[in-house]
Amino acid sequence: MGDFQLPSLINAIQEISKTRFSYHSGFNNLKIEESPVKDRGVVSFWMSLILISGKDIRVTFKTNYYQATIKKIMAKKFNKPIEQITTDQTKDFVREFCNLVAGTTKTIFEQVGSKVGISLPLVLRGFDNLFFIEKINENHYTYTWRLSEADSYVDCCCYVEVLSPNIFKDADMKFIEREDDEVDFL
Amino acid sequence: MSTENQDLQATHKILNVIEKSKNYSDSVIDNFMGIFATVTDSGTIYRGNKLFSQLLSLDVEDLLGLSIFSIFQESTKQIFKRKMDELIEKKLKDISFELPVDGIYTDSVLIFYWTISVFNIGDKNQNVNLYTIIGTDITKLRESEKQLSEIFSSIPVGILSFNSNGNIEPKYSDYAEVIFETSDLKNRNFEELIFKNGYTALTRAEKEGVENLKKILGGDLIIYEMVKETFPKQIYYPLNYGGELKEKWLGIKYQAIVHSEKIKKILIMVEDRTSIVLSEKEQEANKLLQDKTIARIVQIKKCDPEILKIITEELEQLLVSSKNNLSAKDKKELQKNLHAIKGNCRIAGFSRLVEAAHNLETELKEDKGLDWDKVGTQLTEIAQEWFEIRVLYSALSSQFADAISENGTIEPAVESGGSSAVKEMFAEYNNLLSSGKTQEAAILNEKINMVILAADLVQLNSIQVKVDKCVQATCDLGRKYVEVKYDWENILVTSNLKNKISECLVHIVSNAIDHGIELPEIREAVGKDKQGTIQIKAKQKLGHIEVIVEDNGGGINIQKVRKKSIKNGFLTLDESLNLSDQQIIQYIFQDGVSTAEAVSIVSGRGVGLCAVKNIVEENKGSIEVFSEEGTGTKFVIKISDSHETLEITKNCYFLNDFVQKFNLFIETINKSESLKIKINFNENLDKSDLIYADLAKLNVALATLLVSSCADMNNEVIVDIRSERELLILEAKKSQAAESFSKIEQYKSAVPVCENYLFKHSGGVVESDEKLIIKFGYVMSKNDLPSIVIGSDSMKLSNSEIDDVKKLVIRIQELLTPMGIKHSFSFKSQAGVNIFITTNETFENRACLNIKAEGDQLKNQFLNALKIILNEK
Repeated sequence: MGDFQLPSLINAIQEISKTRFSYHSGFNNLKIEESPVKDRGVVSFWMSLILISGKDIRVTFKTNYYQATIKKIMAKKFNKPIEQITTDQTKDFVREFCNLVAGTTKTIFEQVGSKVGISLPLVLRGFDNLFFIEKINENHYTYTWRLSEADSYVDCCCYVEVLSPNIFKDADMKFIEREDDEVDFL
Repeated sequence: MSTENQDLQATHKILNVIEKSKNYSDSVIDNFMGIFATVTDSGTIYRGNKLFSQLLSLDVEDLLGLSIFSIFQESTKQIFKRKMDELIEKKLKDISFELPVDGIYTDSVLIFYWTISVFNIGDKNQNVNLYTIIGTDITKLRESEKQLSEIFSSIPVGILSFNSNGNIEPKYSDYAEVIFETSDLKNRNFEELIFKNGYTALTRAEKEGVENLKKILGGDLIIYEMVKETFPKQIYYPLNYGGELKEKWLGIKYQAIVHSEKIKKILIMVEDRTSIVLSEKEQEANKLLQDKTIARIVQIKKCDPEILKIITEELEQLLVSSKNNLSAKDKKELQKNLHAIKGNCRIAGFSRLVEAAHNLETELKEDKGLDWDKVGTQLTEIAQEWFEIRVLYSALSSQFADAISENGTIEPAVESGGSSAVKEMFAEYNNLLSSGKTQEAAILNEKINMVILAADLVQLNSIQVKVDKCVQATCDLGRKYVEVKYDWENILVTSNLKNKISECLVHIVSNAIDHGIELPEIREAVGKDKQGTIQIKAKQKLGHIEVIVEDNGGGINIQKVRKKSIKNGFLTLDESLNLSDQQIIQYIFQDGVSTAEAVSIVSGRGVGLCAVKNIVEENKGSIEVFSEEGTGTKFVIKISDSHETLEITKNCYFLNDFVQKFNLFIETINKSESLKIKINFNENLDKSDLIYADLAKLNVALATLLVSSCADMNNEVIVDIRSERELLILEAKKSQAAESFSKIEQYKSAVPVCENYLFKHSGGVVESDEKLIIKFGYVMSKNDLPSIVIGSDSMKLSNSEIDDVKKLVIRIQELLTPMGIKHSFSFKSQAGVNIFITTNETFENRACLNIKAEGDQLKNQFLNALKIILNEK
């Protein structure tokens, strides 16, 4: 892992995902759990992904989910019958979650002086994970975790590609929730 | 905005489009109306579509991670695995197969058509194969196929197709196996399966057709259209079952299956036509048999009974000897016997037997090894032919002419023992009539006529016995010596005509001996041989028979004839002076004119020659006499040998009857043959005219000639019918549509019979490229009718008046005879006079000229009128 403070970055992103998902879904007792490992990352029917990219680092954050889970969460949050929640609404919901995670992550990078941009969050099929060719070496890392509460869960995945390891060498990246959190979002 | 952010924004937009596009693609797969799944080597489902999930009663999202094999039974699973392995092993892109799967979502078995394709998503370090499985439910398709197949199986037609390689496709109707009597059809070469068995029986054109079939596969449709007519339509298909031959005939229809104008397959429909072909062959054989029978009848009737009697005995013996020769394999003796058989049969005129004996004799003469079995077969055929002639001869010894009733229907002459062949023809004729097949009936009718005619024909020289007896008796009575010399050709006449001629000859010969041939002493005195000679010659000429009776007696005394004629009121003196001797001599045929001084029991009443003349004239003939006093007398009789008298029906109708019946008849033919013949009766056709014909026959003859020559399936053919002099004339313009002729080919065989019929009735057929003209004689205007009724029941005539009437009758007869009109008269009692002079009895109630006279005044007027008529000359 070298000098790169990966655990702190991953921990930070995990925390961001947890807090943002809690905020977004209205879950209060969300837990971070180990994600079941599946062949080539295909863990759910749906996948939403977003890219946080700068000249020093690239992070791909993916949320693998089943529509049923999201519908349940949304129905509860918006106090609507499940059958009234459409697929497009679930997609927007998860996209927004990815956006929130990416925006917050961006602020962490900016704290250490690395400027990054955020892509458009996309919703694809879980099957499409097969086509992500992920290198695994000292500068490429993949972490997966599950955010769960009761019988609802989403599986998150973070693929990190460090281009300028020195920038992040001594950085202690922590996620601190702020009230006036602002994100430079394109 | 920084440059990076601008780049990022641009990328976002592209991503947005790609995401939408992908969503669309995904939704297509989701909604695909078949099973879609992407699985790993181990069968784990990474992706499936809605229908697949529905079949498993799952949510589509829940398919993920399931093993596709878990939903199949073990055997199905194994097949799937093997197919997936095969893809990799054979480096195939995809593989397709049909596999039923049971218990996916119901208990029933579903049939799927599966396509598995493979793609590798690994990189150079990792080889990861993913399999896309697409399954189409073809259960309903197969059910439909099964139903269709059941329908096809219930049709007795073999339906099969062969592909561009010439191999029979696996799918064919069950009945194809029945037709070809094998279940081994799949992938068989079509030529080997269909044409090999009976290849040698194919015609050269049909063999070319088979070659064309082979060439056309994969070819253009246009070429197929050009050559399709050459494909064999009916083939002989013999099957060999352990040396036992089973004969079959198959009818074949062809249909090209075309894709992009190229022949991909040929669909063939095969039906078993064996029973039809056998039936046709049987009919042909029957016809041949019938023709043979007719030929035999003619031969028998031509043969002199005496000769027949002699050769019967000889042939019987020769045939027995021949059989013995055959048993002993005595070639030389058999040859001799066959030669004798041939000789006998030649004398009798049995040409078929002559030919058969000759052929066998020739075979025996050849030096090569003799097949005695074949000889035996040929000898049996000769014996059989002789047997048939004998049976027919026995049957023909009875007359069947009597079997024909007056109204034209035919009763088999069962009791009279007529020929069974003829009886069968009679029965068939009646069947045809009752089933409305008038054309066929008429043709058969003609044939029966021929048979009856043949049955009724006799040799004219058979009269000889009777004439000889007459000569002998007359000579004995008159103490005269007369030698009769005969010169008869081989003349066949109807028995009726033979009797008439016989009657005439008896009269003339009796007269010749009684009045012509002098007593021996007188003959010697004038330097003649004391034995007189009478020469009887007969010749068959066109339409009539000429009989000449010539004696070397004293000739006719012209003066005596003149005197008798004047005495009997046939001539006045003045008239007689104006007539030549040759004209005077013709008066010997008048009733009561005889040159004999005394009446003998043989002749002398002057009735005989009158009777002869009547007989001759009744038979559309004439008689002339030439005589030279002291040298002899010659009678020349010409008598028609028309076979009219043998027609089954003979009648006279108004043309109106003909018009109506012919119209009806043509309507029927138009319907049955889909023709459009329109009859146009010309204005000059007087429907009150009379036509002398068998209307049924005439209709058939006219219609047959029309249909066989100028019928057109598509266009209206107008037939103009008019009358000219004594002819009924049909004129039709011919159509150019030659194609339509083939459909009515069946009529053409009857054309010669119909033409012959017209010819016999003074008609004929004139055919040119443009038109057809048919003529029929025997049309008479009512004004020409020689039918007169004189007098009434209330009118009484004295004897002399009756004589006057008789004279009138003779006068009328004189007028009618040169016109060739057959006539007769009847004379009714002294209580009244009714004289009928008719060409035919049927005229009696139809059209006649009535001359009635009542009371004395009228009677006198009538008699005066008669006298005027008699003196009009």
